[in-house]
Amino acid sequence: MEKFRILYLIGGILFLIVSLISGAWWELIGGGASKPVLYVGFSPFDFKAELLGSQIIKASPLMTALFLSERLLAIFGSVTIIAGSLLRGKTWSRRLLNLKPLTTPIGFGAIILIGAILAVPLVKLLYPYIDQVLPDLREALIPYASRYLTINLYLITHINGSIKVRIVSQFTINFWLALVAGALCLAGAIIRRRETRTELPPPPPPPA
Amino acid sequence: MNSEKALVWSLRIITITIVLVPLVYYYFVSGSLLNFIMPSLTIPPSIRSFNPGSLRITSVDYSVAGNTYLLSIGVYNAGSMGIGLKEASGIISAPSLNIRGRFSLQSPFFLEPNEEERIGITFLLESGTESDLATLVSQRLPVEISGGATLVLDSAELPLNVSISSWSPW
Repeated sequence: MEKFRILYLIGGILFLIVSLISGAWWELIGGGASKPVLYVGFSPFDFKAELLGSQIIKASPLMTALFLSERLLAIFGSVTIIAGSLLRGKTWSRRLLNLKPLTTPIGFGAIILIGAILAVPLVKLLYPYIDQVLPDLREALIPYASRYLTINLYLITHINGSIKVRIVSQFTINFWLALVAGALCLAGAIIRRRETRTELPPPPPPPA
Repeated sequence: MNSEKALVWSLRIITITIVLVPLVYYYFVSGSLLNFIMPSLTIPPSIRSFNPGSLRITSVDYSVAGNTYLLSIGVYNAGSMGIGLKEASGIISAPSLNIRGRFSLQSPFFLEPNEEERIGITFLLESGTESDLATLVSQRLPVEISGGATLVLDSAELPLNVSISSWSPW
């Protein structure tokens, strides 16, 4: 089997596993890791927001439909990659190979970063004093930027002081596995392109 | 060549179907455009009525052993959810009287709503005298507090660091 097919096959299987299992790709944990006060988990296939163990936000039917579509597309994309890498003798098998395992985690990561940056201005529209009460909310939301959220007590209790609450914003193992699957498929695509170029006949000499 | 074209078109049609069918299904199930778009927010009543001031001090007694004070504090949970402290320690100081000391919670406690308990806090006076401490309490002077604690709310835990520059808890 050609090298690019092996890479695609491993990437496809890995992405299929990630698409089938549940679990967040990015999570925001406020409080203790084992018993958090606030938990927000988000992936292209699911969304979960819990406060003290109770679900506080239920995804809308639109979100549920998009999550279902995205999961089915991911499964479909992985299955076609696996089929395309196994159907070696068929010339059309290359049409089945795709970069869904790469575009999904990169798009997801971009959404998380843009969302974390835009969250504060959006929340500020509803609560104008949010950046005074929670001065480092943006850093707390951006993955790996900070491990604490400062709560300014003066605007809430008129006490001159602050509380730093432990908060973790991070990508999970599912996200990194999806990204590895994407990187394998990208490597497969690069090798395939090189091989295709070498297979092509040399261009004819320019007319004199 | 034709079979390859057919394959490409099949892939496109399957992709469009996968996107459209759930959208159409959930739109008709939800009944209206607003229900379709808007996520539902449900905050349990116990969380909605949560008040940080629900943990009330009912009595304070103390005993002295050298420069260590053992505070016995009666606390009552007037709120709607269980609340407690797993650990708490830090420094209390009053710069106006040059008083400084370390406090620490003796043992963790957890109170269900409408429960009362006596908790023990040790306070080790590092600078200042007992009479300064009495002045601090009698004149209700502001204090500085810094330290760490793990707040327990129902089954959840919230580790936090506190830094208060001026507060009169009396």
